Amino acid sequence: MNSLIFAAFSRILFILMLAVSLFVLYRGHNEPGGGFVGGLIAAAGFATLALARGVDVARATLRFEPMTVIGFGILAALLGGLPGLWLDDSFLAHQWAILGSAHIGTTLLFDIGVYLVVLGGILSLILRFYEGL
Amino acid sequence: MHLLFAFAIAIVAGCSLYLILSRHIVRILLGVTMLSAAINLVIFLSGRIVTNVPAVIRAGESSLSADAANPLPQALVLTAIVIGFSLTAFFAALALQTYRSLGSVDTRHIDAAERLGSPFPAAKDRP
Amino acid sequence: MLAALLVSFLGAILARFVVSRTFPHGGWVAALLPAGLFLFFLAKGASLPEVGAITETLEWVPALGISLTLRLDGFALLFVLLITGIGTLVTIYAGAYFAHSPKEEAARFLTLILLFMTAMLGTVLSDNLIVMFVFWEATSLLSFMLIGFNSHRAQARKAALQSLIVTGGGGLALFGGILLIGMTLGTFSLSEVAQRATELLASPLAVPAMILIMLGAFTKSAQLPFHFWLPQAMEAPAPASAFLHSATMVKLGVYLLARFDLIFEGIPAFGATLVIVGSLTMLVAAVRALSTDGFKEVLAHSTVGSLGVLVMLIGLDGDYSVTALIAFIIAHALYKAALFFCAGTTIHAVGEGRLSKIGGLARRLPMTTLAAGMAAISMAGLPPTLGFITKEYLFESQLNASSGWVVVAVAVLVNAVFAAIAGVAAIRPYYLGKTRSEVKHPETLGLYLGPLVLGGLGFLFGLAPDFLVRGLIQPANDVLVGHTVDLSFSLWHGFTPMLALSATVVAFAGGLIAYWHRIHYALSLNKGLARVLGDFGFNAAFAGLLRLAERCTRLLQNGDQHRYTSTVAAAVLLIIGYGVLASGTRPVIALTDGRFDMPSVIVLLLMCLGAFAATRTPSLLRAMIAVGVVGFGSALIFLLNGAPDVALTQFSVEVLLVLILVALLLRVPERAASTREPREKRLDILISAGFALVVFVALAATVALPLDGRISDFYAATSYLEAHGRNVVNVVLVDYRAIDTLGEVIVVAFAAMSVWGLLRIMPRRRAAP
Repeated sequence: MNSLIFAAFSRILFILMLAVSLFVLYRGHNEPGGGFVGGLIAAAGFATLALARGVDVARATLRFEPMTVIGFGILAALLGGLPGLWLDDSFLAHQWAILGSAHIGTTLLFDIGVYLVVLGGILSLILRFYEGL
Repeated sequence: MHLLFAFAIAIVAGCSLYLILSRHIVRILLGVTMLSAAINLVIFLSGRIVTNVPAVIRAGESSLSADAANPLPQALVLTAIVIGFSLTAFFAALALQTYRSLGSVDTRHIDAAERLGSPFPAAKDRP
Repeated sequence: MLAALLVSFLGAILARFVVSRTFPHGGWVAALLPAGLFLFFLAKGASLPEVGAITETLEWVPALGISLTLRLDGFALLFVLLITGIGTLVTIYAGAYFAHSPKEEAARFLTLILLFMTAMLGTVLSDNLIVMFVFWEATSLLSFMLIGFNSHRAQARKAALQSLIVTGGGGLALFGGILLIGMTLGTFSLSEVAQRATELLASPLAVPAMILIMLGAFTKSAQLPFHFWLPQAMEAPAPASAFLHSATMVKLGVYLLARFDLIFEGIPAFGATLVIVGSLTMLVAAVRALSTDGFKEVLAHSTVGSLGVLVMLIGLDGDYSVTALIAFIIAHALYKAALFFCAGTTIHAVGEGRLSKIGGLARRLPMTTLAAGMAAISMAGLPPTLGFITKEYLFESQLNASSGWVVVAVAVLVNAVFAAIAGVAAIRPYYLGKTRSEVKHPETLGLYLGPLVLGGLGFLFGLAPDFLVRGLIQPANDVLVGHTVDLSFSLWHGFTPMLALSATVVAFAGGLIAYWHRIHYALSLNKGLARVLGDFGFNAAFAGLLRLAERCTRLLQNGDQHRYTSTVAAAVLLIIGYGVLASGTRPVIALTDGRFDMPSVIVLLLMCLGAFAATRTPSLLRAMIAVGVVGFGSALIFLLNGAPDVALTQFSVEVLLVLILVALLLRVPERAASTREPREKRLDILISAGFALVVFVALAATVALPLDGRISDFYAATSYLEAHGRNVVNVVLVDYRAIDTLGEVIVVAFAAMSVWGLLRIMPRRRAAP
């Protein structure tokens, strides 16, 4: 894994993949995409970084422990369900605010939760497997 | 066409079972991975494969057109893939740890909990 | 009566503290409970002739038709008085018997005895069959504890386990019979079942129910072929033996059969079976009694014989059999309990249980000798005792019945043996014998009060039977016969055939006593006979079961993961295959459907090749690539068939999977040597091919069925209008099935955490094998 070119491009590749993953996450509600795929792509981006420059660099870039990311993800998904519990007496019944042609709903928060859990979960696996190699 | 799908899935599933029946941990792991791919296809096929139009509502329409693919099995398969991956990763971690502690990937050498051959103590050890 | 039962139960619990406080006189204090109950039921019984039967009900599980109904009629009263009366004497005796033991032991024993008494009271008082069954099982359980009371003795543990297995197994049969009756009639009330007997007999379930109930009764009352557990059960301390053998617990089977006699008498096989089983039990017990030497063993074998007599009497038709039955229950309870008390005192006194080793105790244990003599006269059926009257009735009912002379002959023989046993038990330890046994524990009031009272009662009832007839026998008789019969008991019947039979018995018994040693010696030489008549069958079955279990375990649990997996896979295949064949429906296979898509076909072909390659190659890296081909192939299939979301996910997963597998393969040896024998491989190929076939047939059958699209149509119609999303798949995930998705996300989190924790530990490597 000490190819110079790979190492040089890894940072760019990583940023690109992260951007794509966020885009896929956002458009998931109306076009193919979503939290699962987004999270996987983001995890793949971090994995690229880890392969090219080492696990420590990938960790430093993430800033948080992967476990923390998982926790935030589950929290976000749960929070996405709470408004429904309050307004509709039904957990995870999503609420919508319609601003002209744009629809913003609690589904986005839920999807972000899924994204974060998948990202954190998969990343923790990858980092563990590549530690000490 | 459905029969071709069924046939291919059956072949993949049979080969997976053959790998799972091995005593080599990594081969079992590969078998499980392949079997989960086959099963994802089973779910997909049970919703019928008749079109290549994605299950996305076209702009300007308010409901899914009749020629679009069945969305239900897709949603199920999507989660199944991620779960299957988590399972495989866990299995791989177990395999890795087994190799680290035993120095072997042969299940015949994993006998700390259960002696190979018979669960009973040898006749001379009996009370 | 409910209150009485509750008092009895609470009193038994309390006895533990009371007895250890008042040690060594705890027996006298504890005896207040059964004595009080005896008086209570005696008072209740006095009012019975006017009211017929007293019933009390407490709803217990109304939804299942189970109510705690207690019913006291003449027959129940007989048992209740025997249980509490003998219970009182047993409690006093036990207090004295355990006077030299640690007080905790005495307290524990008396608690068990009183609980046992409560359970027996419950059994005979219950009118609801389910409630009765609960108490019935409680007696089995408590007798297990009593027989195994000396738990440090291996023999006691074995006997206790044996009795529990036999009576517990019989209990299950009984429960089955009760449920069948409940299914047929829709009620569990014994009195209602008795009223609707014809309805029950008309049902096809009547005979199975009868057989099951008979099994329950035969195991409890130690009838052939379950006779072996009772003699073993005298491992229990003597007071428990007296209670178990004489009065009560083993007679519960007799009680049950007598109760069901009115119901099942329409089935001819019922009576015939009882007569045959009872007679055979009598014979076997007589032979075994003659071949043993232990004081208690001899008595135990004679108990089995007496139970055989009782069962036979229930089966007999004709007049007097019911009367003989009731009288024999009473007489037997009186003399057998007394003899067990005497045996207990004697063995306790000299510390030796073999009849041939003890003798000359008349001066050392005078009261016990007297009591044993009185009880023995009743057991031998000599006038002027209740035993004599009972025997006359026994012969009379046999002569009146249609069962023929064989039964009479058996009865004569067995009664002769009883008489001989009585003689031996009453004379040998006290008057005969060359040895003069040393007495370690002298007799005390508590030890000889019980046998003296019981022996005396045998004489009292024999001389003045009227009191007993009016108070107990007549009411019980009416219940069992179903209508009132005028009874008259008297000691002297005149010169009848029965008297001649009695004389024969006495003469025969005299011979047996004279030649006791020789007969005993001849029989004890014949080991094969003892094995066949004893618990040989039980032991063989038990050992066989254990061997079978061990063989199964050896075969199935041999520590080889390959064997486990192939067993499971083969079993699944066989079950599915059998299911498909047995259902008889041939799966419809639609040959032309869907659209033909060349790219998909090519991808499928590649997947098949990849799968094959993965199984063939010895290189793990190549196998991984082959598996990757299958994975990417499936992603392509999704992409080509309208599932871009799934395809995208599958692609990402495949990439990450490769990353993880590479990390694994970098550490383990790359080349995988074959781990299977060629023979195993062939079998595995067969199983895998079968699996593929099953998958194919199942899928082909599935796609040939019409698709139920209601859920999909609902999603398709409402996804945008209600959930504001155009990508239906994603809307299903985050909205319609959001709570599922939440759960799945948490599964991912758990898997990640497990790996995180698992791989953090760096294990110390064991020496490579």
